[in-house]
Amino acid sequence: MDSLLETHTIPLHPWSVAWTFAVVVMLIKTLSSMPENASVPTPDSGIRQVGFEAQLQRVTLPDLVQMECLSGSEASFRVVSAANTGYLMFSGGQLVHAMTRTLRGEAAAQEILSWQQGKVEPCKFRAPNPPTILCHWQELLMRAAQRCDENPTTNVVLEKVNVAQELNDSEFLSSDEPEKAAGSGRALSKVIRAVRLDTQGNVVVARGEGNQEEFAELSAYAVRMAQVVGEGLGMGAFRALEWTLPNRNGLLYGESNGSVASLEASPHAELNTLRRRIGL
Amino acid sequence: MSNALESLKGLRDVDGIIGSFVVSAQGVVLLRDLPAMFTQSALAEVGPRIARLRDTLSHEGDVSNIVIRYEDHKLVVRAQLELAIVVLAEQGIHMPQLKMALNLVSKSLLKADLGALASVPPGVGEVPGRAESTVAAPAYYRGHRVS
Repeated sequence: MDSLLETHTIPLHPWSVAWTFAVVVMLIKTLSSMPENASVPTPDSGIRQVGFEAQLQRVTLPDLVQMECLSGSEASFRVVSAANTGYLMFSGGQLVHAMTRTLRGEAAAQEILSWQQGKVEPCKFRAPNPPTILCHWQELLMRAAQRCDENPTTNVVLEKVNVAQELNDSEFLSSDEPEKAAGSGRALSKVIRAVRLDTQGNVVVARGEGNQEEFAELSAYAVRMAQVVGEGLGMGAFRALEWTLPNRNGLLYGESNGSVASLEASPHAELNTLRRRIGL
Repeated sequence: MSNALESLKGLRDVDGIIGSFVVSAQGVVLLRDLPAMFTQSALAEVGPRIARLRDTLSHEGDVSNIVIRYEDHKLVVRAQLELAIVVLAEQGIHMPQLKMALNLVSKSLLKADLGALASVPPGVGEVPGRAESTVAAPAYYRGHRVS
């Protein structure tokens, strides 16, 4: 145990070549120190039901990724660094999904891993299925380290994806009508933020600015209130909810599979195309 | 019959309106112009939920309009200060006409003293037993006194 602790506390610059090497060595030592009959915890093993809540300082994001992956975590984390916010989601011992305001998948993971300081906190997002990150977490860390070694003073340069394009993909809009979704790109060009929740209330897609988890909670509760109001008045099944705020308009709709999509857009955004597309 | 209730009944000039009622920010139903099938107990349950929905959506400033679409009907909420006018309408309601009518009714309700609105004696259209709860006390909306 002591030897393991010593290994973990080697003082290194997080993204030096030596760090890359240390990650590999540490990994090998950690794995080789495990008893042969020890198994990686499965999602159902209940490993998250016991344990400590901890606040740690000077922990790097690669440390977090390594800890979560080695423990077979099913957790998700919000990473805040200066004005940037990103999300890392783990499942089955892998980093399976990452997203920032403009990126998702491995590109988002690379960007998040390039952030040098900030805060990490658990969040309730659940990783989408299928995963958006397909490579092994060690490979991901290697690539991130390599990028930082090659360009240590600047963040990783990645292709930015427009929010409207993001909303336009079949994951956010109804996947059964992708060709119609493609035609609604202009209508969504002023989207401020958007979330999509599955039938269990898990956030499967989040885009845009602000606290998306809070917006997801708001949307989920608003749907429930609209449903019970409708039931109380005998109005029939809930379909959609729209609201007007001083600086934005909201649109939330339920789909036939039970999922809910919710977005807020600039007052100048043209939402009629989207309304037509979802049959309003 | 109060002027406020007359204003509310004016909404029926728009085709497709089933009825309407007025809810305070606390969810108390102050006025109603609804068919008898909408019972008081149903409204007493719905009122607070509409207030909660209004509060939920007011995260970036006060929400002014809410439109809930159901399979065959629409529920339109016009929120203004202490009050929210709730309109039950058919799916095919002419929304511009309804919005204009709501503008007029909300102006009319704002002109009416909230205390006076709440003190309308129970009659055909109003919810009985609500007048005493708000007539004497000043009305507040999100911490600001509005009457």
